Amino acid sequence: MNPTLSITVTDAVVRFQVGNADGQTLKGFLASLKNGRRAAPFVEALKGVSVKIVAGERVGLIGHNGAGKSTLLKVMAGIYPPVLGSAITHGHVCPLFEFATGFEYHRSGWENIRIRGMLLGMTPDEIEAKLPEIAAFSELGDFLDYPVRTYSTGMFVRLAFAVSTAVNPEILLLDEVMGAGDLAFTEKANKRMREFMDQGKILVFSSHSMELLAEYCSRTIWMDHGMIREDGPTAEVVQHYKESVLGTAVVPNPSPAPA
Amino acid sequence: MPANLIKDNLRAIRNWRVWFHLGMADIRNRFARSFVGPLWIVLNLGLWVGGIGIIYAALYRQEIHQYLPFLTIGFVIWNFLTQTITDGGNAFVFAEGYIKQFIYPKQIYVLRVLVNSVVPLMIGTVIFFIVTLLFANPMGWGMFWAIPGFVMVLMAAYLHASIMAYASVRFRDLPHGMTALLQVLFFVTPIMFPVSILKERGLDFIYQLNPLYYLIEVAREPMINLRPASTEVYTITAAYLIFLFIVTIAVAKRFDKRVVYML
Repeated sequence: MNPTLSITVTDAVVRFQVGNADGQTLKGFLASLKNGRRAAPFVEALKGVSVKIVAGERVGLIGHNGAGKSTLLKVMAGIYPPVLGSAITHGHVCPLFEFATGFEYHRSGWENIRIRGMLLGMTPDEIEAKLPEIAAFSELGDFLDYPVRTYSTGMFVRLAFAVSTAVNPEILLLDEVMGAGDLAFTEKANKRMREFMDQGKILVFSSHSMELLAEYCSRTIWMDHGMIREDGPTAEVVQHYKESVLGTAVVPNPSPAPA
Repeated sequence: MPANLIKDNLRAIRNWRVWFHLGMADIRNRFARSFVGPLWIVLNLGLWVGGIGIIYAALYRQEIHQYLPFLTIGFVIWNFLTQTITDGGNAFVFAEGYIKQFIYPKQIYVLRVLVNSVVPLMIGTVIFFIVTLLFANPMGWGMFWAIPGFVMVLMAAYLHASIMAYASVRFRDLPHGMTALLQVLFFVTPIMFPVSILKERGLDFIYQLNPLYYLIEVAREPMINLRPASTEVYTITAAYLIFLFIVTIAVAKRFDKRVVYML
């Protein structure tokens, strides 16, 4: 294992502008003249978050919707540069955030496998070598010859999932990606995802499945309103999280849920 | 120049396979399901040069055997320069799905636009040679002076596209505005008429204020007259490139980290 792999996030602040800032369109500009100018409203998605993750660690992220889990993952990936603070990641990052975007709609399934593979950091030779396996896993068959604009949502997911899990990850960042596709595929996908997660030298993933967290992560970070509420052993953090959500003390599990 | 910009640019260039592939896919995509396919680039140019060339040669009282090659190469370079400006404006906007999901440096989406536009430029240059051969115009070693000229054109196109890519994310009107501006600029740039017409009428300022004229001239003059362009043309082109470089760095420095939030 490469011991230099690490993720260091220091006092990271991330802000999103909400809607169109006044004056960004002519209509908005005229409206702002009438209503008086206001500062563009923004949401602080991360309010000074510090995390250090080293090689070999598997970290879970929990928290309600909008707590900043996805944003933190994207900061770790280097996709969102923090406005304040810093995020430094050593190692090849493999992000798995979305399965529904990032396609060339007029190109065939095969071509999209190649493009997505390249964007995930595979070399053309690697992609060609893995092409049959990716195609087989996606179960898309003849559909791979058709432009992906003819695909259903589920087929997009199959395609993206098959490619994304074919890379050799060093640092694996996953955003609630379990349970993709239809029932038969979900079963298969879960199995493959587990194998894939086992390969990551560093794994960080957000999930609402406490079982999955207990199974994979010794450490869990609880995000709340853009801040870290708690960072510690999974059993403890999950316990506190459940208490907070349910509003009452819950009898702790005697042991983490069985795998 | 900020270190992270240098690093990103180097990483982008190292990953040439990605943007080359994306750019070529764009070309195929543009002509997908069309019967003639990329041959449209040839037909389009042929029709334009043939049609406009014959009429305007008479209008401007030009010798057709000189006028057609002149028109062809000027028009081809013009198209390259304008396509990289307008498409550059959409480089990041159209790559939103990628930029928010994958971790490549954004510059690959600018280079993708460049690949996409270089192909018509190369096809057009071949057509220029065909036209030159058809009219049995002189060809010679002097044409090699066009190579530094084309390098300068390419550099300008990359810088134009970078500036447009960054600025258009913030100012979405920019690509529309540039399209409108360039349509007007086409008619005042010496492409359909030789620059001598402006000089004769004391309208020198029209081309002197137009950096695109110098970018065309720096590659066109060697192709037509088999000799290097004038010192004036080289100097102004070089100065313009330095200016573009400074603007690109300023814009990139200001917007690089904000692009993903503004998409």
